[in-house]
Amino acid sequence: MIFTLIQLIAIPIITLVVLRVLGVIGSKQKNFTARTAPLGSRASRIAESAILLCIAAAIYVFTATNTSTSGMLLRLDGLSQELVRVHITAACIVLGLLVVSVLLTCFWRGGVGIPLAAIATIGYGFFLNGGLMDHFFAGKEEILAPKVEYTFQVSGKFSGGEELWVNDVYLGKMPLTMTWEEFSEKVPFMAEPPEGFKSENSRRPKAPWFRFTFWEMKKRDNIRSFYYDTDSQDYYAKVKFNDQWGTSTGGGGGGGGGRWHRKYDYSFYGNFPDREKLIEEENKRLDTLIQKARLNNYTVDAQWWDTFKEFDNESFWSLRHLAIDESGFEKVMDAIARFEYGIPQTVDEQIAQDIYEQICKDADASMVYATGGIEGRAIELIYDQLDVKQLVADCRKALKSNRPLRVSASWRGDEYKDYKTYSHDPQESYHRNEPLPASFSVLRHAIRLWDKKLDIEKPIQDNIIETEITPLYIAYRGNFDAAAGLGGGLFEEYLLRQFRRERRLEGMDLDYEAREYTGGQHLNKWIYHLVQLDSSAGREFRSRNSRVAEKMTQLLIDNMHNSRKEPPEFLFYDLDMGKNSLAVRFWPDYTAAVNDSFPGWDESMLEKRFAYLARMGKLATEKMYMDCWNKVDIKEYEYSRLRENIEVIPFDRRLSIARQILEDVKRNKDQIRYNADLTIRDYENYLICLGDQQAMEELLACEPKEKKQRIDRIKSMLGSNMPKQDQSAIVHRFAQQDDADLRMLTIKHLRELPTPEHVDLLETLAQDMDATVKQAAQATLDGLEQIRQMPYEKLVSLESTYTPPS
Amino acid sequence: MIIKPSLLSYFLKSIAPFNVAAVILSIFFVMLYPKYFQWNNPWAGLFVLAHCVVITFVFGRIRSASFAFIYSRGFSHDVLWGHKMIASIVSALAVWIPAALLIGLGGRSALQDWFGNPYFPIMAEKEVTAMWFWLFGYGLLLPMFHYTWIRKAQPTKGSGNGMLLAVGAFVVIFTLMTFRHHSNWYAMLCWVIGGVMMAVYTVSGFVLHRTLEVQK
Repeated sequence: MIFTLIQLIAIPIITLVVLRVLGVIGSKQKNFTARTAPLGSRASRIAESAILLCIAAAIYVFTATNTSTSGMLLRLDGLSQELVRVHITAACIVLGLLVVSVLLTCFWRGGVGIPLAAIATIGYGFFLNGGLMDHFFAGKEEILAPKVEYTFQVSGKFSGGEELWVNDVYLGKMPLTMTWEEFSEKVPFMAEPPEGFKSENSRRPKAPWFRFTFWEMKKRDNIRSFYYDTDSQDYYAKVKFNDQWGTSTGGGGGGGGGRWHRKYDYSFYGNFPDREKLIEEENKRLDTLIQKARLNNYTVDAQWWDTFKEFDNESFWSLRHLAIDESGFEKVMDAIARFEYGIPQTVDEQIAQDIYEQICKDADASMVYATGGIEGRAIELIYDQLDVKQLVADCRKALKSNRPLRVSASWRGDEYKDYKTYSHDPQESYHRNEPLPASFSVLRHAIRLWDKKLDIEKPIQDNIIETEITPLYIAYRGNFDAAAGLGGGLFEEYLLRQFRRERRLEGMDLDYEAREYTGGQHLNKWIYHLVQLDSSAGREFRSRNSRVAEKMTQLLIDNMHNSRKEPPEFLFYDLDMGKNSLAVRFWPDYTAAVNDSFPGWDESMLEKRFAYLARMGKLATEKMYMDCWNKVDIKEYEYSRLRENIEVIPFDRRLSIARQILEDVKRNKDQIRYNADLTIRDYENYLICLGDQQAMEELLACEPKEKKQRIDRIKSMLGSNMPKQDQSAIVHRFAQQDDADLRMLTIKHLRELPTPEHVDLLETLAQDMDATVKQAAQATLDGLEQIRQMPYEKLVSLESTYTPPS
Repeated sequence: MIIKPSLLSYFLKSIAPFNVAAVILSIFFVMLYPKYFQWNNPWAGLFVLAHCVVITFVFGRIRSASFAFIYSRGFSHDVLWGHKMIASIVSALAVWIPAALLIGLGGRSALQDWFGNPYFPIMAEKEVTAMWFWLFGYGLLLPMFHYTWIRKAQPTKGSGNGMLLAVGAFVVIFTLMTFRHHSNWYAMLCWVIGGVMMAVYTVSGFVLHRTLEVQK
């Protein structure tokens, strides 16, 4: 507002002053200067020329290079050739006028030179950012067309070198980048899909066709400026690899840009027979390598590591995925990081510093740092030997710099949201300053780890990171998520004070600074962060302002039609308060909100409710679980999802609730629309897995044929997406059963997951009274021994020798 | 140049009421401003501009009786220019130093913290940058405005050029201030250009002051 006020006052004053100085309007004061006096002294001419040069240079350079006001002189590579010519010509003309005005000031009249410079610079600004350019080129709009670039590629392992046809026109080998001009010249638009694009009644394209949404450039009809826009159209592609057409399995793309330059990327996902074989081979080798690690009690040696590093980066992520259920792989990941960076078992300060510097150097060279990669794991192993004061000092310096902290951050779904990969490639950056090098992301990772460590050591006291770094994230970066991640008393006090100033929960009329845009809503940023604080201040806030907290929770739940499967984490921070906890108090509102959630299927709603109750732990009663089940419309319920729904319930409570649900299903059997008996039988099979004695007895009493069928079904259940810990518990239970068939069904699972406990179990089964079980267990042990003894040379990846066809 | 206390004292006395008012105003402003100061704070910019205008107006009223009086007391033009510049610098520092101390030593932050202002103490560190911009503003505007009146009193034509350039500089500075973020290289360029302008205005003001014509 103040800037506007200054403009309102300053513009008339400046106009008057300029007019008076130029003699357009008269002055009441007497002019003492003689009519014959010279036009300034030599000193004044030089001084005024120099000052004019300075002022003109400052505003000219700003206008020509500030991209937010369309100054593109430093970004000419992002413009079409015509636009490059336009920008350079305009810049040269203005520069020429400025030189002339300085020369006029120096050698003739400042009263002419200075206004000329003003006109030139103001005109330049209007030309670039005030619509003057559009008016100037009215009728020749094609000159102003943005440069639009498209990149086509195939996603997945071993990709590259595939040949691309679009709308039956051959374009070249991928990855392929081309401009709109090149594309539109070659590829005709097809209003209808090509012949044989898909079979009748099929939604998917028929091989070899791929369909993708292409962003075409379109000229706008009735518009004052920005003559061009992009419009989505369906295009049809064919992709060939090694003389084999690919079969579409999907695809995606996206992009965008500004007025002058737009970029779009398209990825095709497809099956190529030769490539699939390569991938299958590679997966098998990696699986075997992983089995060797399991068989060796998750201890790996240098030979194992030498083989492992032949695989690509994805393989480390495979281990990270396995480690979610199988903690032994944490050890394997540690060992990999130790091998990669030569980290000894005992790390002193000097070693830690050397390794840290090495990781920083590597990150700077690659311009990428992955907290979930091997380098991130290495930092986790050494960070506590780094000097935290030095880390804080370095971080402070970086945060106070005017440079972006990174170019982008990416992660692989919610499962790995704590493991981000940071890109620092300046080529990808549109910021006015070059981003900080990737070593900053290494530094920040170490800082975050230190903060967690200090929080555990002294949970109540603010640590050096919370007092030194958190405020800088707010003051210099306005990054509240980063500040919230570190936390601390200063941050909490900041939020509380802001809350006292602004208590409205939501709305567009909130001050920009106080708004948090999430899930399509403008929420009060202070309350949004306060309710999510996992600290004593957060507890106190939620307790003292319970209505506010509940209303904010309601808004967060309503975000995106409550499409999130998991309720917000903070609801469960104060479960120790029992019935007064937010989770218990909010449960009725939550369960009511789920009624309107998306997707609106019964099984999705049941999953959400069970997930909430599961998070409540012992505060959730069996009655609450059964109330959720009772809300299900038995006629509409999709019973194939029942087991998945039940698996959300904590394992130790699952059996009892599952039994009650079974009884209810049996009672309402006549309301089940399809295969009621089969559904109930299948569910009973699952209850056997959970250890239900009654269901077990019924199974054992079955006819041999039916029993076999049911055991086969249980076997396939174990092989499906059941959590590994559940699988292990079930397998152990079956291995102890008197029935040999049940003991037998464990063998397959034990072979697939030969953890040390499972190998012990196999050894016990190898001494089994039943000859079939004994024989199968022994054969499995022999097979595993073969894997253990398999030479590593057989497992070397093909990737190192693989080159895509040129 | 030997400093003549009586002359300096004369100049300082003539500007004293304005300086006292400016100091009080600046202290109240610095202590009570409810948001945090950024480099481009328009109120602070307006204050520095007004103070510089007042200083140069008091010392540069070329058609006033007091101006003619002091130029007829036997002081050389260099001595008068030097003392006016010293008095200007003292005036600027008299306002800037208390404000800078209040910000730099945490007085403002402590008071605002006591008031329960959410921005404090978190923003205190960042505000330190703002006060250096204020000093830079004084450093640029004072020589510029002094040059403007000195140029006006030359026995040559084009006496309004200094004013035209001052208007141009104001418009450019104002434009740049409306954009909060600039690239580092451009900010550096502005510092350099600002430095060159200060030097050119100071030297040319000094040189032109020798040929200044008292017009009474």
